[in-house]
Amino acid sequence: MNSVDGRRRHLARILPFGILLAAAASPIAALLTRGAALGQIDLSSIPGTLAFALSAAAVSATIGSAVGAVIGTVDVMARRLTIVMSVTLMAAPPAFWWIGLTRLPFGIGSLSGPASAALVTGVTLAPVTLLLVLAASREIPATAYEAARLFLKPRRRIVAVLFPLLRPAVLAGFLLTAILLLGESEIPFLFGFRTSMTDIITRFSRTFDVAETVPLVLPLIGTVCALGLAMWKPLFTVLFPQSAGERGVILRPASRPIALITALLPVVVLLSLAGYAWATAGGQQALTRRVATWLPTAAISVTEPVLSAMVSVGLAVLAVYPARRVPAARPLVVAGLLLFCVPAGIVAIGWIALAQHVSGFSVAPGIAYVSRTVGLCALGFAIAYSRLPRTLDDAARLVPMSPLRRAWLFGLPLLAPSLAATAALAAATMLADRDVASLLLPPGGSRLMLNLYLLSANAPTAVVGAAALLVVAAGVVVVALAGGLPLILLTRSRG
Amino acid sequence: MSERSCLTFPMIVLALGMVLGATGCGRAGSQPGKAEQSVVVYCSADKEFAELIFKAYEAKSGVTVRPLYDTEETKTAGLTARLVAEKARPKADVFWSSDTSRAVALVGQDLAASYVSPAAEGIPARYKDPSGRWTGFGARIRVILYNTARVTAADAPRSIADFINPRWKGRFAIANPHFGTTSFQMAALFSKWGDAKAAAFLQQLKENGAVIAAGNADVKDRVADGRVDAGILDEDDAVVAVRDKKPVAIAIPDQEGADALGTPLMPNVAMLIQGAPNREQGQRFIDFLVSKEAERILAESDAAQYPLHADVAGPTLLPPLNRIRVMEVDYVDVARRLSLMDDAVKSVFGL
Repeated sequence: MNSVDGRRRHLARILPFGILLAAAASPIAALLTRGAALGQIDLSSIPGTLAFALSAAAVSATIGSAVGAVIGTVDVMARRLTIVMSVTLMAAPPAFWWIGLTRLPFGIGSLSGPASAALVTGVTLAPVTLLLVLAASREIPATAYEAARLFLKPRRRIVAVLFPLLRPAVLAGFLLTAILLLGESEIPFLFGFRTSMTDIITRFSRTFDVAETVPLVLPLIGTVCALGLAMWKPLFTVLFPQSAGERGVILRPASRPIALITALLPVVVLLSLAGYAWATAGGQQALTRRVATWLPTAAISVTEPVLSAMVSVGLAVLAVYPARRVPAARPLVVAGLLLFCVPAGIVAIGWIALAQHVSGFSVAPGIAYVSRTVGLCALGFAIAYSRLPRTLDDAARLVPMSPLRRAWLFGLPLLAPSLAATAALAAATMLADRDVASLLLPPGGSRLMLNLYLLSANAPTAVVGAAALLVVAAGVVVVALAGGLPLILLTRSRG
Repeated sequence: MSERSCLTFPMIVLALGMVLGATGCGRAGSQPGKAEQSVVVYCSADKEFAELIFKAYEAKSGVTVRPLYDTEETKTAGLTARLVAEKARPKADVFWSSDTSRAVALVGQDLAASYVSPAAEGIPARYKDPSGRWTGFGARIRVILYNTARVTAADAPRSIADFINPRWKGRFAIANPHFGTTSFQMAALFSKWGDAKAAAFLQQLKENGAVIAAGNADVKDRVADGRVDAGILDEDDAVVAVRDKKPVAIAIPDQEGADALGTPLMPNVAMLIQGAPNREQGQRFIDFLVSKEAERILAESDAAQYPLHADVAGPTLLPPLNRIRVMEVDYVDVARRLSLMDDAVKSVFGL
């Protein structure tokens, strides 16, 4: 086979992935096209937005890396439970946890301004860095770290050995958190200041005119891309490690004060939920009737993210599997990640721009969710495949059967746990969304998270508390279903 | 395992994708299977209160109400912009606006169809359009809410003009004047005082450190938890804070003196949409919305809204309407001033 044939074959293999990403990026492309035609850019809210996002990300990276470093290097009590509880913070937007905290009876709700908002969002998004630091800590060479434990004092060990080894994870966590915060609109509304996203939402709502909004959207997308390009290298260093088979640091028993650090994030989760539970106290009888009326909304709020996540993962697998061994697919994985980083509200406005162009079609929220998360799912697949020993895939290729059958029987079952985790993460982001639902839902449509925000305006606190607890219950079901279905579907094929 | 079963995975993805696409996609104006049994209502009233009306109507008529709400941050302006964008292919049958001015402004854009509801006969003429393009019902007033732990009743503000006094510098909140009833109140000042004086008042509010909140409910929360000492908001938001036993009290502004400004009275507005996909159902729903029965529900609930039918009792937590000095404004003129007011707000507050 000559090199031209080889390039053609590689091109043919990455073509489905490219087509999928192009389709998913079409709403963003529609906005960019409108922007190019208008030639206007409004940068006024970018400095404030960046200041908020970067300061909150700094808080987040500090807390996430500290907790991650402790959990990754010492043996704390109830380690798995602590990780699960901490990561729960990612299953709902920062505003959800904040509103829960404000329902507590000791007046925590009187914070306002960007600095307070940065602190609150920094804490609630700390699991982003925590997870990356945990992943990085599993790749630390055990022998080198054990040597450092023997010969260096703790402070010197952390500064000279641990932090340099975890630096890519901390940097990637910081940048990813900052990118996620660029799309945050609810917290700035609650804390009384403006960001690009609040300006985009309010301007679009005032005009329902994409052309009016594009001058604000373009700089935000540009900022997301700039941070995303700075992030991909450290992020991929963590997610696609060169070594395989390292066991990571040997966990040693922790001293009590050190172990207490790891309780910070679970305590935030429990306090927020306690706030909602406190709010419902005394109103149980009326609430039972009220909650019953929300059950149809709960059903669709669970079904939609699970279905959307399945479609997202399925499309990603179908498109990326043929390209799994093609090096040129890596830039497309980066593009998919950037696609996910574009705020959900902008994706929704992009779909409205496309729909207006096609004269009158409305777009289902599920379509917008899939278009945003398909890149994330492609990344999940790529990470999972990179962690498989290449020899397994090579061995499977020796079995005389069609590529399709081989993938179904050997390839995908091995990737099932990672795909399940990706689907669960994608579904959780969809359940937590409010912007897409408020912009794309047809009349009569309702979703639990949107319902919660609409009720927050004037409903009795007991009702708001019950609505929030229902969101939590739905979240558990969504994660279980979205995580469980790929496992069932893909591991059944082993038989 | 056969080759055919390998196709299960792509087929499942395809099937799920089709199901997903089918849920919510469709041509504008398309209706569900039983189109004659549903009515689409764009509603900027708070969901908590609007649902009382929708449920009562559904129980009475057997017709399903399919509402679309505004978020608190984009109150009313979001839905009016959407109605304008959908003008060529309307999806809504009825617009229930909690902000009189934004709804009345739509009349000038040919978005309202004429319908004189027989149920609105008892509503005074000044609260409805003679040709039936809008009908007012269930009105609210603007009030001042203050935190009783930080402000005594004697020191409480008595006029919105008090908030330009240095004594209140940085201690008061208003909702974003681009949206909802705050936009009505500001546009009403432009109508009442003239553009120059009203714009100067906005500038003075800004210079005196007005805190711009996300919405009226946010103003309520800020006053209730002491982040600010006082705020201007709608009576229903204020009543919710009182009902929740927060340390707050309500003051009705601009009531004292022979030439007192009075407080704005803002009826909800029912409007049949021009080219509504389901005009007949829209008319029947409006008949209910502007009826005594609906006004009674809104008055008795925490919405605490003033009925415009004289023989329906008003809310219990507030003084009767005939004891309140109401700001005399022409709603059509207020609607005309909205764009001027929006420009002034943008220039003064940078919003």
